[in-house]
Amino acid sequence: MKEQNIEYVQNALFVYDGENATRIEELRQFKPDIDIRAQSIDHFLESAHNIDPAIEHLVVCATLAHLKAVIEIALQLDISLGILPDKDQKKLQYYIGLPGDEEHQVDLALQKNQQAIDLIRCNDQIVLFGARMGRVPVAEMGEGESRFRLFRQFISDLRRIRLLGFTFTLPNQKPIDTAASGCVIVTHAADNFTTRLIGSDENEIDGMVSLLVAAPSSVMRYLGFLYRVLKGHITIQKLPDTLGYIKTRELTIETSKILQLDIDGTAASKTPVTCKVQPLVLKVNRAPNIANTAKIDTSERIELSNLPMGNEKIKAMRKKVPFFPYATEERFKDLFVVLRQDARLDVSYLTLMFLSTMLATVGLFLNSSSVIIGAMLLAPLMAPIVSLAMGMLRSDYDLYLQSAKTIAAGILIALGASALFSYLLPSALVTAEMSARLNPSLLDLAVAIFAGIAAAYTKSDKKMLSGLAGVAIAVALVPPLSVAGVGLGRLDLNYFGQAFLLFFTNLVGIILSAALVFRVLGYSAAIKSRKSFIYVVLTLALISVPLYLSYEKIVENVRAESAWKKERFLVNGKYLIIKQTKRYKQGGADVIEMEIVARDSLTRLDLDILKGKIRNTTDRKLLIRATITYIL
Amino acid sequence: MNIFRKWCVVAFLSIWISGCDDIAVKPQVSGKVIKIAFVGDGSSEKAYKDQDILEGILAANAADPLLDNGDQLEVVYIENMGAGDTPIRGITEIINEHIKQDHISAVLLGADSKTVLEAKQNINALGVPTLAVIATHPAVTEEVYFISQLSFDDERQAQSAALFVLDELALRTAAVWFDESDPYSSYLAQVFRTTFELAGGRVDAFSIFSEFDQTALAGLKTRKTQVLYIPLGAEQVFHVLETANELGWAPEIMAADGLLATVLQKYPDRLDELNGIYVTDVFSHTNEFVSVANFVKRLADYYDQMFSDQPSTDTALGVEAYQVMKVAINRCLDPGNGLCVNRNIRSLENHQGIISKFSINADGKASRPIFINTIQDGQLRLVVKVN
Repeated sequence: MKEQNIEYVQNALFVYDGENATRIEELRQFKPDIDIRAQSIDHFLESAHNIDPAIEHLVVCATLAHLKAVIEIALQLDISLGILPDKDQKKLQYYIGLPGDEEHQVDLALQKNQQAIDLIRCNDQIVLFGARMGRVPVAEMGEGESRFRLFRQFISDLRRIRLLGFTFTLPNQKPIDTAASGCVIVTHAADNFTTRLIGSDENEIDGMVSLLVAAPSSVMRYLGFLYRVLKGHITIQKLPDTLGYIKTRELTIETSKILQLDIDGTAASKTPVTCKVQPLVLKVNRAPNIANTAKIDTSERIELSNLPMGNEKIKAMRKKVPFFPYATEERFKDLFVVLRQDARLDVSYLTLMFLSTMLATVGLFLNSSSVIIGAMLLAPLMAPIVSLAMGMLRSDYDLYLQSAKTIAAGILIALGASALFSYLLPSALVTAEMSARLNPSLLDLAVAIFAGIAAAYTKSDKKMLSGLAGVAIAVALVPPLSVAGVGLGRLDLNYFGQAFLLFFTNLVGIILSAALVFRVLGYSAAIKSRKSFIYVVLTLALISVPLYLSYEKIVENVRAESAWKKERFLVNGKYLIIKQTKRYKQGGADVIEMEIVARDSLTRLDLDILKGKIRNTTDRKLLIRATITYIL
Repeated sequence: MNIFRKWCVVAFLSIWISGCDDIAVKPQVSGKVIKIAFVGDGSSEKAYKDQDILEGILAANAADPLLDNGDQLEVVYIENMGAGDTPIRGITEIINEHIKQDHISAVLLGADSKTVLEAKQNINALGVPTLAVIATHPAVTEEVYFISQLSFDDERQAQSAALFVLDELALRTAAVWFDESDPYSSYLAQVFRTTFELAGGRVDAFSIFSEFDQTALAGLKTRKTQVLYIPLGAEQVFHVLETANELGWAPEIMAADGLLATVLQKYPDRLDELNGIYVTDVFSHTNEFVSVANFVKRLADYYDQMFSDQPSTDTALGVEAYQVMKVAINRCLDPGNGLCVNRNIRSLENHQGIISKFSINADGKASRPIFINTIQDGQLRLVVKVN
């Protein structure tokens, strides 16, 4: 101990309660040259105003309530304080900044105080370690707390948390209305999560009050907060969605429902609460290393943008914490600007729609998958569909109707262009690329749903926008529309219906899944109607019926095609091997295409017998197309 | 939410109403009994076959005893005891006796090709519609009007086997052994040889089974013959397999229908020896072509209640034989009108059997698929189905 650099008081009064009277001996033994007198707390409080003027310093060893009473008198008399905590007063030890050994405590308690620190008062009561209103998850969790306990505490809090209306009023500013589960006045003195979180921004000599506000507006955000707490990824510079922060000289807190104010772990008052700082008034001996004099930031800070405001606040206070987060448009301004632009019907959209349709139609006739993929990439249809999903989710009827109009215009252009093209083309060719879009099934719906998820996800983050090209290819909106248009051009309603069902499947699947993804990601409006959502779900249920039937048919076809590979025919002593079959519907008829391998040449009679035998294998009327390969 | 509830109600009603289509109407029992007879082969050697076929017939009868007009079909089992030495006279006399005693309307005949061929003219003369359940020789239905076949005929069976070997297995050389005392075996062998050679294959040996020995087989091994066609009985097939094994030779082997059914009954502990050989048959252990019909599931329940052994392909033929006869009798106002019943047997079209559809043509021959299987672990594993 470097005694030579430390100055000690000359006259001190030891104030004690209970059995702490004996500690006077420690003080006297440590510094026999100091004139130290002792007085019980009761006696001290009774005769505080008649204290000997020679006393320049108080050493207190008492309960927290008595300590605060002594502080009040010390402030009035402008006397410095030394504190001797007992073994159970861990928080107090931390406040002073001492290790547990008594010699250091005595030494510090008798030193001559060099610097005063701020004193925070809430509703005029002294706050040493912190003050709390409502529920603030993990606010009081100490360092070294087990992760399991932390997790258990979180989950336990989750069930009880409700958001209430909070109004924070700062000097010379408009009151801030928000919803929160609770808030804490944070001091530098406490050893807990909140102190560690804002430790770098808070100082005992900055003349400011620091307030941390908790507003877990959804279960998802709450769990996200838990994850970040467990990972230690939270700093005051990057607060999680569930926290707000105010740093000011004075603050009034009002709540929609009266809350208890706990100061230093004891019920002290009720809301409304006014907290203010008495700068540099408390002369208390503290370990020098905890005084953060290097960085004193006295600027006011208000970080409440994460907290529910306006409609969000109304929603937040309405019922228990919802599972998915929600937000106002202001919160995601950039995204909504893009979505509104995407929903707009303009010349470039129509031009691109026309060109992509023509490209797709030509690709379909050429049976060229690369040309069709080019058309998919060019097609602008995905953007308004995603906008429509957002409009539907947020019940934003402007966005919804604008997107719907744009999509409808795109569909009409695509159908018209491809119908005209096929009408003018003399060939009624049915290529494999066309056939592939004539049998939509539940699997196509699954593709649409996953594509919708991907589309919404990529749209929500600029960094992932490049992924939209892949989504466009996966879901392929324009080719089925082109095939439907070709059907219209040929006046084949079955053809049109099948292809349009595929397009409609993609459309509904994307809308629904994109809306769900936006909801999970927190883009849901604070106040919304469920009507449009129910309509889409009902539409999805409706189109699922033909898709299911179609899926059943595909399964049946696959099984039949597989079984056909084992079918052989013996016709007039000629052995015919079925190599490949393909079944599909065309113009209302079931068509079976087969590749037959034979050794002997087949006569017309043989083919007629074969036809009869093939038809006998099924109850359906089959149109048979066969390619015969001869074994030489 | 109201809309959602309405949708639920509509969906439920739709499903419920659509499910009403298949409610079957049971005929009222008239009290009249129509009798059909099952006559076995009569030889003690093949008593197991009689038993299997009869079990199929009885199970089918128990599951579905009523005609559409409410008359009850009753199966009379004619044991044919003591007819082993003189099967021709025995079968004919016994049938005739029962026609007089029990007023039999039709006969299901369990005899093999050899017996039926010998007795067919006498049976035909009785004027009772007769369905040969397992006899596959093409001559069974020739020059007779009242005998029809349920199984495919041997010509198609042997042709299918020969062309399968040549065109599917791409094997060019074959050797054939047959039982000269059995017209079924001889006929299959002959057709196989003719078809195989006409299609470009080479037959290295065409021999009667009494000449079969290790030397003969060793000669074929030396010539690198690729396939052995052996339309023989189970004991003879085992002998060929054992001999080939002794020689350390494993050529492809193809046998004829009914082999597995025989082995299952007579040599169940030797099933493993058949693993990997090809056989033609009327059935296969597969449901690739048709989903198992409801009546098959119902039949299986009846069968399990009535009998303790495993059904064989002969059991399945017994079921189909009963069904054919029931359909034919159902179509006649007078079940005792043999001409009518016979005509309806011979005009059966696309009848759904156990695993495939079949028809019986005006000449009495059945048109039904031939399943080419491999035997594996006592099951017929489908390779191809020849329609």
